[in-house]
Amino acid sequence: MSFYSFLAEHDDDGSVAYAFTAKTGTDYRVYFYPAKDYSDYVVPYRFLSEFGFICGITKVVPNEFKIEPFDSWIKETVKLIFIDFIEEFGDEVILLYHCDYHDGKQRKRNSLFKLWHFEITERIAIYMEDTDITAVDEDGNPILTNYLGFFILEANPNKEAIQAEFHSVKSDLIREK
Amino acid sequence: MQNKIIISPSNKKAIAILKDLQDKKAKLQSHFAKKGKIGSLKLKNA
Repeated sequence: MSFYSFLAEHDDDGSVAYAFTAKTGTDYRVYFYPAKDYSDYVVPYRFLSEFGFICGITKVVPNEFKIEPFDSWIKETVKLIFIDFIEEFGDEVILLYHCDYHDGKQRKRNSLFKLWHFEITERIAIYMEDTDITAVDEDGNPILTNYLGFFILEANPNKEAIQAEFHSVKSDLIREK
Repeated sequence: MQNKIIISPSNKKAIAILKDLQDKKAKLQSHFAKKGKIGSLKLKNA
């Protein structure tokens, strides 16, 4: 297994950003931002609010939109970063992700999260759930699709409560009021 | 089977939440894409 060296930086806002540089010279960041500070929408949910982090990956300026060749080291590095974060923040941590529609590649990114989940599970037992959320027009034609999901350790002592909260998030979303 | 939610165009609340999440995600991506030391980010009520 080959991977890039990486560093982790903790910030005052509670976020953690991991950084590494690929062999093309492009810098990457894998970030974890406290869910309670992401949106008021999360606050009513005890476990998502207390233990949740929004996670994401980005390339760093000036290469944030650069198309990179396939590099298996990047995937291995990201997997190790996820494992490192979970090990540091403990059994109760919840990693939330949101694949949005800004570039039309949300399905591809969601598939990537699923693949990483599958592969990480070879190292540590992780439970994952995801949902696609599609807004449609008056004729039922899809306008835009988002993917929301979360990862937790199989051993998370709050697993059932977290599943219930994620279900409540979805139920609240479909309620018109 | 994939879990899914279909949002009706009449569900303005859900559409507003999705728009808010989209905006916050864009801010997060932009923040962490900065070169050098990145500093703190306040997203709520941003």
